[in-house]
Amino acid sequence: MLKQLLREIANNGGSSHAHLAQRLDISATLLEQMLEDLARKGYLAPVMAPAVCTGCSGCRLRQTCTLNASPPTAESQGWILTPKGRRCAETTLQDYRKQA
Amino acid sequence: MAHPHTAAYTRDRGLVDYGAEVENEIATIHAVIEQNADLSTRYSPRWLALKLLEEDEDILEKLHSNQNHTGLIAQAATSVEHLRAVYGDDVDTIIADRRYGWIHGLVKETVQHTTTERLSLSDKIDRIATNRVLGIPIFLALMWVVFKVTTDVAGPYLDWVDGVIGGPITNWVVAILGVLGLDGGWVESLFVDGIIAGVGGVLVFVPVMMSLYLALAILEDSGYMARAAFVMDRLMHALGLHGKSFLPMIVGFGCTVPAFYATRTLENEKDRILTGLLVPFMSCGARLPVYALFAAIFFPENAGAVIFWMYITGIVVAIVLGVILKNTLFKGKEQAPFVMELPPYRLPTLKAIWFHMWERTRGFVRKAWGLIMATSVIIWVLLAIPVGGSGAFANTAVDKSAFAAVSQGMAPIFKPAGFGNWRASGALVTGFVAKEVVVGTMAQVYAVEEGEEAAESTTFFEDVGAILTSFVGATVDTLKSLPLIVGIDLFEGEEEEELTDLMVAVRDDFEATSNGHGALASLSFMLFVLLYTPCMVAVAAERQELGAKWTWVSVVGQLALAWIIAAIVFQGGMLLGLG
Repeated sequence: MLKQLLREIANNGGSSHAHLAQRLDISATLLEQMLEDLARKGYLAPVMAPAVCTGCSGCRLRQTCTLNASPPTAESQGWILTPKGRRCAETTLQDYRKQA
Repeated sequence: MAHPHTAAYTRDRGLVDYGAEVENEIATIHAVIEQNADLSTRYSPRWLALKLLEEDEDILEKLHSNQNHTGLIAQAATSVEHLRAVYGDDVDTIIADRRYGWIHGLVKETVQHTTTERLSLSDKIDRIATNRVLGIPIFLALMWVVFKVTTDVAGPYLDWVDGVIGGPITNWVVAILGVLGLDGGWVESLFVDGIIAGVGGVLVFVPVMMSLYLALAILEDSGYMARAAFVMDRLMHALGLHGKSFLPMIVGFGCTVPAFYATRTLENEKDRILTGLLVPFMSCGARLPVYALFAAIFFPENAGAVIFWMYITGIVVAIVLGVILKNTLFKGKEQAPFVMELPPYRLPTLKAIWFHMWERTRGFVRKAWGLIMATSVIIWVLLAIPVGGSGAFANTAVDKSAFAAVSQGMAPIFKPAGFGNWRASGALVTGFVAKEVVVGTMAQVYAVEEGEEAAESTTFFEDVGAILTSFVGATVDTLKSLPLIVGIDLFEGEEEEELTDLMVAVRDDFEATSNGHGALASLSFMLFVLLYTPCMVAVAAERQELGAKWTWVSVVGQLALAWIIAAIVFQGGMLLGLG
């Protein structure tokens, strides 16, 4: 499943969590766990949104901000394939093509 | 590899099947563990075997502390090497992969959904908003609406602010100076022709900026901007640009300075420099007053569309240049794809929208009172100094001033682009301080040249009454213009809005210096403003982030590119008989 996820990311370019979960036929929670696992193992790297939001502490808008319920964190912003992830995805993709 | 214990090992039902190769190695390690009574009673042998294959640091540390386990550690290392050679990947990943597969299968087999899982509203909207085919047209359509709102809705308020600054506020300042005995001299000229014309010329665009920030705040708070970034990223990735590049570029729509700092998120130096070189092409908020002024003068019927296309041109130039540089100077590895968590759509609250809009507008006004006021005073001084002709300080013809002398030297450079007049050239130079100053300088240069009109004598209360009345009039006009956003003109027969004195002066000057092709020259001027060197604060940030060499490349390159594109548009348009 992890390799299938890497293959999906590599094969389909930019993607959202919802799209990926739908394509792999898994729940959003399981997908998030898998993404975090892949990041821990060095296949994905987190991406932060710069200068947009630095968290709620000290923010004047915290009382009214609609992101209050789930303030963005480094982990929740996005993931990008690392060179290790790309290598693994390519190998998996080749194996998959051979099987197909 | 031979595994003497494989035959004796049987996996319990219900345990994860890691595949023949991994199971064989588990069996081998399992057998070694069972030879050690202490270990096999303390730990589940299968669990311990898996931990050793996963190279669990805690377990390995514990085993290393006991000499009796040397054989087990050696066997585990051999098994790990063997599996790595077979799979070409980390063993812990292979094990995790199998576990997730097992979980997925288990869920599929055991979980029964009693009701059909429904897509959330966000999912349903995203199916369309982030669709591979529809995503970009939807993004463009929304940006179109943003700029229609910016021009059509803010237009009447722009005229109102212009009237208030040019009328009552100027009258009050002159009256106060009169009370202090400072009227009629250079002090009055400094205030009226320098500060009020320069700063006021920029402040006139506060309603335009507020409208833009209002529309962007709604898009941000609703969660759409994250989708826009996602859609743009997909486009950039398809063109071979870095997936992370979109983040600084999105920031660049607000201000180029934080956009340069945002390039720090790119680890690779080549990607970081490439993105840094592209960021200034994203049209920052400070350029909007220039577009708003020229679009209102030369394209009053399609002002929103002109501004929209300016922003799109910036994106297209950045992408085209990015692709060229990526395949030449910055040739490197293929870019990695990007996965993004999209927040659910939310209904924006009025309070949040107001705060977001107000924070940004306040920044714009603060800049007008600081940097722009200082620049306006310097320009006024340069306009007041007589050069090579008769006249005294603050009492000289504007085209005989030091400012005109310097600007006239540069004007011929811009002749091929259609705006080879010294006023436009001078405004472009001062635009290096801040892009809003382009408009402020024009307000000063043209206002001075027109001469002062005799102010009507009104009382303070009459002025306040006029301000309130004209505000109500502007609000009514704005309400009337709302249907225009969707292309419906309910008041078609009504009189067209009159151009302000500044607009008329700019129009006449551009028409004269372009041989009657004012609209084409204005388009070329707007493109030059879009593409040329960003303001000095942005250049300082660029130098800090990219270094002196690349900053010079960027500054010179942007000037050259801006001139080439402006000249091509003007000359090409003339050849095609446009404008």
